[in-house]
Amino acid sequence: MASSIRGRAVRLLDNFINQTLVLSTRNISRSLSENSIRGDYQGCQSSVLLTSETRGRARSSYRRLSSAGRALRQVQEPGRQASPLSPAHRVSLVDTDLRHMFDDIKKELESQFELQEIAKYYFDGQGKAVRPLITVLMSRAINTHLHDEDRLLDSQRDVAMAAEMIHTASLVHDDVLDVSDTRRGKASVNSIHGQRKAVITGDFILSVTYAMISRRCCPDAIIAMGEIPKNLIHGEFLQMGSKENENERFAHYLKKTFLKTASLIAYTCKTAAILSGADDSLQEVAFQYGRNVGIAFQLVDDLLDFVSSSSTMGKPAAADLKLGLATAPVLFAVGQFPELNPMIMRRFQEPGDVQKAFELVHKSDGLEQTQFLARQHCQEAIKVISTLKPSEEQKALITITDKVLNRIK
Amino acid sequence: MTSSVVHRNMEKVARAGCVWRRLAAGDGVRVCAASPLTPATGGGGDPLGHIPPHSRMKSNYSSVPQQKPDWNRAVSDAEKIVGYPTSYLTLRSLLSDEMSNIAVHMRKLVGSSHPLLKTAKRLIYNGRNNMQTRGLIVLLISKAAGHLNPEELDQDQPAGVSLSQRSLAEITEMIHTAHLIHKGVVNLSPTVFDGTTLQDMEFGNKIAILSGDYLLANACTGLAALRNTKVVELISTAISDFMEAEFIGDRDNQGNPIPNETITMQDWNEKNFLAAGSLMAKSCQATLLLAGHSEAMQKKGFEFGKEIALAWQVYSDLQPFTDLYRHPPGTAIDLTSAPVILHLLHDNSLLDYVTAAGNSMENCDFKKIHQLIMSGNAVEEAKQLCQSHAQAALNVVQDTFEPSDACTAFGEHHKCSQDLLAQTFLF
Repeated sequence: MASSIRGRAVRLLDNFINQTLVLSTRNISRSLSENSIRGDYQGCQSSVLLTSETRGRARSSYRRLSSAGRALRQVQEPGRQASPLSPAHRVSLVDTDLRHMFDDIKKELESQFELQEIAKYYFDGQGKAVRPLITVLMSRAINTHLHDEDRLLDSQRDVAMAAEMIHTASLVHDDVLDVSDTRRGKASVNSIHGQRKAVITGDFILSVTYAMISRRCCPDAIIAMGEIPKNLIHGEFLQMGSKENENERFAHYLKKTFLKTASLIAYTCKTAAILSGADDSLQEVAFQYGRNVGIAFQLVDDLLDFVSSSSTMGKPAAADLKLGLATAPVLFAVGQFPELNPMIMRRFQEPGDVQKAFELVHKSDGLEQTQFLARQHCQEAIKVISTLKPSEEQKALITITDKVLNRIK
Repeated sequence: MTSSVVHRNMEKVARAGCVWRRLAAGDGVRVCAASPLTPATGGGGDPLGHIPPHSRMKSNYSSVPQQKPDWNRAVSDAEKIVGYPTSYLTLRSLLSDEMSNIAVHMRKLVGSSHPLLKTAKRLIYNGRNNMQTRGLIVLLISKAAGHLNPEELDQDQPAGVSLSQRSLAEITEMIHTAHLIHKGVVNLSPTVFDGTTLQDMEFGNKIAILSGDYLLANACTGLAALRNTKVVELISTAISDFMEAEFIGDRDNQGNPIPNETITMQDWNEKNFLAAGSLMAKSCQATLLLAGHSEAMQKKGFEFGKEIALAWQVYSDLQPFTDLYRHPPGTAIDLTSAPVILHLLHDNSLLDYVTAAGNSMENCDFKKIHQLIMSGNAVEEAKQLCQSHAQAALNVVQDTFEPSDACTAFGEHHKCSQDLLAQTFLF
């Protein structure tokens, strides 16, 4: 138990290596209520002990980044220092909420057949769990805003779990669609069990998710959650097509990014707000925060595809190019290197296309521009979330945008 | 070809829809004690009943031609009663950007042997006959039970079926179709398929996944819009049940089920409740819930849906043994279908053929297996099983929707649809 807590804490701390750990009184009181003072305390202690080791690891990863990556990191530096809340503090804010989440998800996926093993395969605690983290923080921030009470509702916790489950279900199908053999550094479900079982398992996870949220959520919340699969599949369809016109192409890319990645975060944030009793304008605040952070998240993901090694990302580098996808860095690079245009149109199918495009993107300022755009979305997210009554969770939602921008995996 | 086995399985699934006609034609006649008609006998069954109308003329097998069931008329009568053309159930979801996108890609598949093509063809050509019966049953039971909150009916007052119930019927169809499509995803391995075929199959899988996901996503949105959390739970668990059924028992490398020595009809029941009964049962329960009926009444709906789906399933299991026109001996048989298991209970020498086939059931000597089963009593026993499930469904209808029942207050239409539910078994 302690080691898994440690593992998660370390991962969450990866990007905040220079900051010191503060064990707030609030966290202690929450631990008391959990009747697990020792476990929690030890968990946090382990994080402290591991920090120096983590620091070394993270530094070497940074060293491996390209010059663009380094430059971007420097650009980000001031923003990081300006963040008012210590990251460790933020971790402790939701750690109690998320601690048993993966176990609870596995309980939901209980089945008497082999299906359960396949369904539980990705819920091993190795994922970043960014989506549940944001959902939980948003729930508590809105609860504080409306009721001066930051207690997490059970239904909101269900929605946080649902966020991870829907995400995983879509990953399982995506891996079959993309004929991908690895995911999060391990063999993908389809490579082990075949395409057929993978597809069925994805459907299973999705149906279990909706059965779960239907037990505690109100109809309005379910309606908001019901939008997610439709958005995901719509995004998938957009990804299959491409636009000739450069301007249209970027709009097309952003729309796809919203549908495929940001919609899940946006709608879970909105659902968390609905469950708290938020009115339309407050729901919109939650939605816009999720939407902007989600788009920034995907932009950084697309950027990391060019600068990160496969061992950190858990998937091969330049994977998007190999799939024929022109993401933001490429679309920005086209401005400087029009020879990318025909490659985009033929989906990097000809021999040498991927390599050539990869080099051109690095020569261009596509990566910086992508980072800049991601930053803009984060600032927009900060702007909307700042309209809430101040709370520790609200601050955490602001610092999380830095985590999104500066993540290395 | 592994894919051809998959095809045959797909076809089998689709033909499940025919049981309705069959119930109407042969077995149903026997269910009704009052009927003077001669029941179907022997292995021939009633081929008239399960060949699409336009191809009926081609049929020259007819062991029981005494009665010509008019399925199309039954459907159009049913549609009149529920006030809704069921062939449009999934059409609305098909008329969208996403689906036209799929259609464009599907064209590239023409000429390949991906199972998705056949599923799509059936959706378009046989939609009315095969694919939409689940939705129609949901509408019929809604109509028969009546709506307890007439204010919810609004402009649907004359039809007596609320918008939510119609939507539920659509969702039931969408989920079923999505499941059919996803079941047709082919396991790819370079050792089984050569280069071009592998590419075709990969592409076919892609389209199958996307179109199935699209239907499921629409079902999710539609379910949520019903604003009834209990219904969302019921239908979501029905989808999980489908998926669980796919994992029951031993399978070969393409997911075809394999029997073992210990298999019994209990296993058949459990699996087919999950694979077929659950969605029908829970949809029927959910529509009564939407109409404001009591839990006892909902339970009846559940029972009805379950029984009719199981009758349907046995009927479909029987096809390879009764419809030799479409299943000449040697065609692949589901080795965990009711007649096979019933035969195994008496004689497990059949397992030798299964063992001999190794890891891929397509290597089975289906001709021998067919002969073996036809020589025993299993087909007859399966027919009785089909009848008993049909009878159970009919009993629920007769017990639950008595004219004295409170719901008769909803007027003529109620009486009419009650008759129709009964008729589906009778003519």
